[in-house]
Formats: sequence, structure tokens, C-alpha cells
Amino acid sequence: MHCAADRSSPNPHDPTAATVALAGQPNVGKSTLFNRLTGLNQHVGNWPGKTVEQKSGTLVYNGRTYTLIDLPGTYSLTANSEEERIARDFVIKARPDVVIAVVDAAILERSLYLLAELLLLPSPVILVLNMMDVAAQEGIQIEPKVLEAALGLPVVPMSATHNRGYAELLETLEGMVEGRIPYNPRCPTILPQHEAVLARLVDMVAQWVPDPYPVEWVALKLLEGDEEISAMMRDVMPPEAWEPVRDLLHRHEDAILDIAGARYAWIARMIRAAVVRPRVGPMGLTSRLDRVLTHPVAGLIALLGVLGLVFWLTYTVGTPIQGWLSDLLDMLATQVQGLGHGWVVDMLADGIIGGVGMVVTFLPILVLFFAVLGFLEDTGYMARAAYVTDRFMHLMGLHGKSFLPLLLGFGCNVPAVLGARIVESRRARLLTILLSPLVPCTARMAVVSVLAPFFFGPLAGWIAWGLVGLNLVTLAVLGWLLHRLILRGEQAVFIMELPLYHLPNLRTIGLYVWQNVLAFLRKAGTVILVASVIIWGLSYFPHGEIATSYLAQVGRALAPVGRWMGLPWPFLVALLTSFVAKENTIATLGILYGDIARVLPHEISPAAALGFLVVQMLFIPCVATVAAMKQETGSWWWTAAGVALLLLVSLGAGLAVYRVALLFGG
Amino acid sequence: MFRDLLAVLADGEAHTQASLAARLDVPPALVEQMVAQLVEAGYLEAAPQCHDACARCPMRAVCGVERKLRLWVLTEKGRRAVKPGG
Repeated sequence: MHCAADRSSPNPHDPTAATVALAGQPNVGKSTLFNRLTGLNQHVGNWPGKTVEQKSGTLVYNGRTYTLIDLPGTYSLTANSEEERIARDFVIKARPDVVIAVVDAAILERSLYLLAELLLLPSPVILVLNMMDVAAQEGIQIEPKVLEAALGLPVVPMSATHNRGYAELLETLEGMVEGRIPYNPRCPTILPQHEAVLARLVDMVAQWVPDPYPVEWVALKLLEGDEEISAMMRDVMPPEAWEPVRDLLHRHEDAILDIAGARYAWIARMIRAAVVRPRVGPMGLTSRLDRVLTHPVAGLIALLGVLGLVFWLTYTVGTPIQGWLSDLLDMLATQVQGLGHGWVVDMLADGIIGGVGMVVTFLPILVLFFAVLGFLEDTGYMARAAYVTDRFMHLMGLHGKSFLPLLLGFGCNVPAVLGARIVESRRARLLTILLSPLVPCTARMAVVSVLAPFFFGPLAGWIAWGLVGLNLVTLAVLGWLLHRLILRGEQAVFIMELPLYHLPNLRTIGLYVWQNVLAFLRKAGTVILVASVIIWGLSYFPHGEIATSYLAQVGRALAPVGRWMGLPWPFLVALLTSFVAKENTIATLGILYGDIARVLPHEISPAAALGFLVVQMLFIPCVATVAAMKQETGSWWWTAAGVALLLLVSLGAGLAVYRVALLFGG
Repeated sequence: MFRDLLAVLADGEAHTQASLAARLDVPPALVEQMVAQLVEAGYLEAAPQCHDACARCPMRAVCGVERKLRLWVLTEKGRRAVKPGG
């Protein structure tokens, strides 16, 4: 690529005057510099025909009057915005004698793209490295002389707010206007094959390019696909001349990758030559942590560790509190029963207090669980967890957009199913929908958080951890199988933005916990309350006792299935009611057994308990998720197939785990 | 540089801006700018945000999930450019 600066006619009209344009990104101190240079000699108006503010001013130095024009702050000159069009049009049409490109030395790599584009325009450029003091404070070392040699243009280090570098800038400005300072900018180069295309384009458009646009710049912008320049040339060229140009551009539509790509390579070279970044600091901490936390193997191990820690913390602190609340609830139920006899009192004591109340006692556990999750979210770790999980999902060919909805599933399966809509391919979408319920949602994790300590005491953390792992492994295996069956050869790549790690904010975490707990309480007050009353009714009527109740009749019909897995019928009924909402498992067991913390461990063996929890985690999703599956697949058949698949997988896995656990003497 | 970036993306895996920066030996801020420009040129697109799915969810009132994660995926044009010889 050629640098187009043309110094042959620096303001031929008047040797005692010069025009200078100030270019730069927003927030690089350009206005400070402008104000300091022009003082009170400023004029503020609008760019002709635009709503963008134009500032101009004058400055007299060594007998020459410089007119300074403050160009709008822009990141590049690609005609993406009105500001960019104004900036480049000014440099092309007004041809200032010098353009001062102001950059923030602390973030030099962000500013050089604009410089690369300015170098293509006809005016010579001075680079002002502003905010050198900030860069120094951050430990960033910049070598202005090295940069000057590498760029081939004058570089002036400054600190505009601290009044440093003005004298050097004015001297350089004068030297440039008078042509005393050598100016041989080294611009980004483009590939040889594009050089040839560019040369052809130049030939094709040369006679049509309107004055004062530089022909080569116009040709380059056409090759880059610049819409404004394309429209301009289409308008000025007769159709028979434009057609071949359009065809040529169409054949090289990816040329922008090489042209703009070369600019980035050029920036990277300049940065490597002239900038030394500190190894420590917030950026350094993030990259050091990420070296472990996003590593394919170490990252996965770290994630498992973090997950284990989440459960361990939740249980160690939360379970005793839940125990106290549960005792309190028992006392309350006894009090209520003392009020009298009859089904209303029984419903209050056993149905509502025993069901909904039991669920609510788990609030401390959930508060802790969400607090730890909120902490991880706010420090920036969750984004890493997502990234690491994606690598795992990659194994089954499920990544890119499918991963997003599945990630949502950790909160609730319903948005996961709905989120599958963003996956374009129908087969990938279907696979995502079918797999979504296998992501352990918070409701299911809450049930496991509650039940595991009853059966496994201090080992509960490990068990819960293993159950979540089992879900993910099942998801991967099933995904891999289904991928082979219904979805082949699709792949999507993606880039994720990982935020910097930062100290968590208590308010943010508090808000996260509050939102989640509120959501849980709303559910307890609606879905779970209604279900509890219905379950209680079914377990009470027609004779006022469980053994002869309607529920027992249903339960006994299910008993054969339970016997394979060492589970009495109330557990199967609890599973069935979890279809309404996952937390109902706890409510139902509470209604049927009373004080579940004390009773349950004696009802079934640890092996059966493990099998039960496995089924609970993999079981058909709640009714809201199934409804979403129907809505999104638009097919009863696929919804039924999904439900059947999960039923089969959950019972199969539960049975297998139970049998294997028995072998180990569970 | 864009071709190098797309060549790294061609492995089909997930990447972070930091990992891409390390692979290309450039400052992460440069990757950020390149991603923005590839979006502008139609090679990459920002994936819909997670909470877009939540906005339509009937369970929204009883759910506290909202995760913000910025993600970019290749467009059809990007996939064509990634293919060897494409």
C-alpha cells in the first residue's frame, strides 16, 4: 500500500499561513490539546450541512498563523459514521498542510488503525503520543524514537494536561510545514496479488475519479468495499465502465481481509517494536489466572473443584440451619394439630406446613447456594466456566450457538428450550431442545442439595457434585449419540469475551441472591402450594389416612417399578409430582413422611437413595419445560420422543446406579 | 492478520479474545478491534444475548436467571472465508 502524502504544495497561496487538522479517537485528550493551542481564538459551529460540532481556532507561532481544525473523534476512517465521513472528507477536500494524529500512549494499539488510514490521505501526519504520564504510571514503556523510525514520521511525546511537549510539538509542526523534517512514512503493505488488482482498478477508474479524491485511495476504498466511495463511483461512471469494476470487486470481495488485515499486522509490528508492557497489573493477573482456569484440562479440573466447593460450602453452613428451621416447623405443625380435629386442620398441618413449609425451610441452603454462584458470577469466573464447558461440549459436536441455550439451562430449562431458537439449523435446534432438560437446573440442584445430606451426611457434597457431573456426562454421551444419528458435519466457531477478573461487589451479589430467592418464594407460594394441597388431598381422602388413600392406590400400581430400584411407592409418587415443579419432590415426601430429615434415612438404603437421586436429576423435565418443548419443536411427536427418552435414560441410569451401588455393599 | 485470525478460528473450537491474542502474538485490544471490524464487514456476528431467550419465557416471573455474556459467531460469509482456499 502506498502512503499518499503529497508535500509538493504546502499552502502555495500564503507562506505565513498553514492549516492543521487534529485527528484522533474520542477521549485521547484531543480537545485539551486544541484548547491549549488555540486559547481564546476559537470558533465553534457546525460542519456544513451536518449536526456535528466543528471547532476551529488560530495560533500564531514564529510569525506564521496556523488555522487549527478539530476533526470529530473517530476510531477509523471507514465511512461507518457521519463523524468518520466528515473527518476524511475534510482531509481530502481541504488538504490541510499537516494532520496531527493524537493518540493515547497508554492504549497505543487502539489508536494506530486511525493512523494507518490517515497515512493513505494526501496530508503529511505528525503523531502525538499524548498521556505519556498515564502510560508511565501504568508501567508501559514507549520508545518515541523507535516508533518514529519504525513509522517514518515525526512522533512527539506529550502530556497535554500537564503542559508537557507543547514546545516540541510547535517546533515539529513548523518543521513539517516548511518541509525541513524528513517524512517517509512506512505504510501497511498489501499482498502482491492485490497489488495487481489494485493497479487494474486504478486504471479502470482513474479518468472518472472526481477531484480532489486521490485515485489510488479511491481504488483501495473500492477494494475494501467502502459503501460511500462505491456509491460515488457508481454515480459518476457510465454503466458500461462501472460493470467491469463491479465484477472485479465481486471476485475479490474478501480483499478487505487482506487490506485491513495488513493494517493490523502493521500495528502489531509497531507495538512490538516500540512498546514494553508491564508483566503485572490487572491485565497480568487475569491472564495468569486464565492460563490455568481456561486451560482445556486444568480448567475443567478447576471447574469441578469450584463446583465441589460450592456444594461443600452450601452444606456445611446451610444444612444445620435448615435442621433448626425444620424443628421449628415441626413445633408449628404440632401446635396447629392441637387446635382441633378435621380435615382442614390436617391439611394445614400436613399439607401446607408439611409441604410448602418444608420447601421453604430450604431457603437458607438456597441463599447460600445463590450467594456462592453470585460471587463466582461477579468475579468474572462464570464466563470462564462457560468457556471450559464449551470445550467439553465440543466433544459431542455441540457448540457455537447451541451452547448458549444450554448454558441458560443451568438456571432454568425453559429459557434453554426457548433459547434454542437462535440455532439456525433445524437439526441442531432439535438436538439442543432434546438435550436441554439434562442440564441440571437450579430447582433440581436445590432438590439434591436438600435430600443428599439426609442420606449421605458429610459425603453429601461429593454425591451432589457427582450427580451434576453425571448429568453433564449423560448430556455429552447422549448428545454424541444423537449427533451421530440426526446431526452430522455441522460446526460453528465462536469467540467469547471474557471480562477481567475483579473484586466482587456485595450489592451485586445481594441482588442476585434476592432475585433468585424471590423467584423461589413465588414458586413456593403458587405452583408448590397448589400441588401440596392436591397431593395432601389425594393422600388423605377418601378415608383420612394415607394407606387407603387415592394416592396410595396410584403408588401401589407403581410399586413394581419401585421394587427394582429398592424404592417404596411414596418416592415414585414424589417423582411423579416433580413433573409439576421439581421442588414438589421435597413437598410430597414432606407430606407423606412428615419429618423427612429423620425418617427418610431409615426408609431406604443408601444404594436406593443414590439411585433415586440419579432418577430425580435425569427425570423428565417439569411441565413448563415440556410445554416449551412442544411450542418450539411444533411437534407432539418430538416432544413425546424427548420425554420418553428422558424417562428411559433416567430410570435406566437410576437402576444401573442402584445395582452397582448394591454390589459395593450400599 | 485477518486471514491468520480466521485460520485459527477454522479449528471449530471456542476461543477467547485473550487466547486469540496469544496465538497471534498481538495485544488483546487489537483482537477486540479486529472482531469489531469483522462484524462490520459481515464475517462475524454477535450472537443473541442469553437474556433474549428469557424475555420470551413464561417462567420469567419465577426465575432469577439472567446471564450476560458477549459472544460472536461466524456468519455464512465468514464460514466461506474460513474454508481452506475459500
